[in-house]
Amino acid sequence: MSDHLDSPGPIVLTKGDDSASIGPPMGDPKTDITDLYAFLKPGAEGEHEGEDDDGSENSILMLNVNPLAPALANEFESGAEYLIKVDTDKDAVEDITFRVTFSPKVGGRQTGRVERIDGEGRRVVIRNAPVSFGAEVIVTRRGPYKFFAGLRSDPFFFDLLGFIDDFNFVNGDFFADKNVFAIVLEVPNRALGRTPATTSLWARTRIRQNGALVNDDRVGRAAINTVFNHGVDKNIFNNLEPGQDSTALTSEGITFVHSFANTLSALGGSPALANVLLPDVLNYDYSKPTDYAKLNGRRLRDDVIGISLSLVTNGHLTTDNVPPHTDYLDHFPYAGKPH
Amino acid sequence: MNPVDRRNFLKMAAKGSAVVAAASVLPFSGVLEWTRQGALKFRAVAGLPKNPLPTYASFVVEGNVDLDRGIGTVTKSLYAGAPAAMSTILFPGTARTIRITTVERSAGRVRLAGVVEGGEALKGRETRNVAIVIDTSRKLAHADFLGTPVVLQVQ
Repeated sequence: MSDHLDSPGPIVLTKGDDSASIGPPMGDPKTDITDLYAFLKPGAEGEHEGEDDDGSENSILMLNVNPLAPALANEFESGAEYLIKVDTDKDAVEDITFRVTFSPKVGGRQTGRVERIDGEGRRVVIRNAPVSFGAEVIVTRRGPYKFFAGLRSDPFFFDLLGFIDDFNFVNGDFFADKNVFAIVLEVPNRALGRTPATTSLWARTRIRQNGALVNDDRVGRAAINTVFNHGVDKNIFNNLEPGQDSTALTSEGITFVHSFANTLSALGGSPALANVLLPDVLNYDYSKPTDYAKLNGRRLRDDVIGISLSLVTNGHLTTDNVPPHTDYLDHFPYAGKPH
Repeated sequence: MNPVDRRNFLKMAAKGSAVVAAASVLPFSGVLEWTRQGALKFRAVAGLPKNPLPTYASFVVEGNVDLDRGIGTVTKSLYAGAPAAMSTILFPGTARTIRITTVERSAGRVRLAGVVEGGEALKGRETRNVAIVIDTSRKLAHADFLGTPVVLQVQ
């Protein structure tokens, strides 16, 4: 539930006799983002974390979609854009974008393409990369880049049913046997800009509606939209860019910062934390070790729920009693074999 | 979980659902219905979790019971999305089918008792023997979700 099963839904707005739906009619699992991870490439013995064989330093960016895959969908959306956006100067506006797109699935085959876009233009860094639909890992390499896309074990761990049942965390890990569609990129750190101390990321999906690309889902830190936004505000928030988070208004006419502060207060947390949680971006200083607890990137094994519970309840709740999965790989693409 | 808190929460949720029901273009089927003399068909919904957290999922209890013979079937399901925006996505491992074995009727209330069918592994504080109370006058249903009492709005 970092952002699982929480895609923009069929919210109906009514004014007088008129009504209008917001978002795709039932939400599209193919573009429903579950989690975003960013971490230094784990080093082999004798290497520094993040350091590649050739001495360069690399990072792993992982954007997962499609909760409960392949039950709800067994492909990537060919008309969509899967974006990992990078802000290098702390203004919550992207300076670099990794744009991933996919061909239509034909005869059980689909291929991905990755472009890196910055102020100087657009460059294809991966092309014609086959999607993995089974347990086999198909990795596409080009220069310093590696790319994987396909079905993997969902790395996220959480007692989701305990959350729904008012924090009665006695049900175990809902995601222990679940899969997602993972997009995993290994990139040289220099491709993230040159200012690690002020770098942050977020993920965005865009879908095609009536011939135009429109915003669908977005995720920075884990579970922000799920835990803090109510009803139609989820869709409003998904549609915003992080640069708008601090000033945009909810459907009730208060700022999202104010709304987050209200929820934090009600949960026993510090309302001031709202200004840390917004803009909703994942800070990622790749010159330092990755650790979600230090608000620096996110590893697969980071207990984001324990950390978040502790923060938002001011230490009243510190765990959901679920440990990390044991199926993570110590090598690319890091997410475990699908169930 | 304090049931009083839960009740207050569901009062608020019910108010919200009523507004949405009035405004929504979505069809509402499965109303509380006496399909014939001595037979009850119902559908009840509650949004979970409670305030201040956003409603994330919809707990749906549906039943078709022969009150005279004291038999019938009730299903409990959890769907992604709040009641106002419920999806068709069922949370895996949460559906329960209950074989009704006893029916007790009193003024404005029907108490159904039964047993969870099949070999599904129960979670949390669930038990295999369950009871569901339908308050027909107030259009409320009382059931448990994973062992926690929940009040649902009968639609």
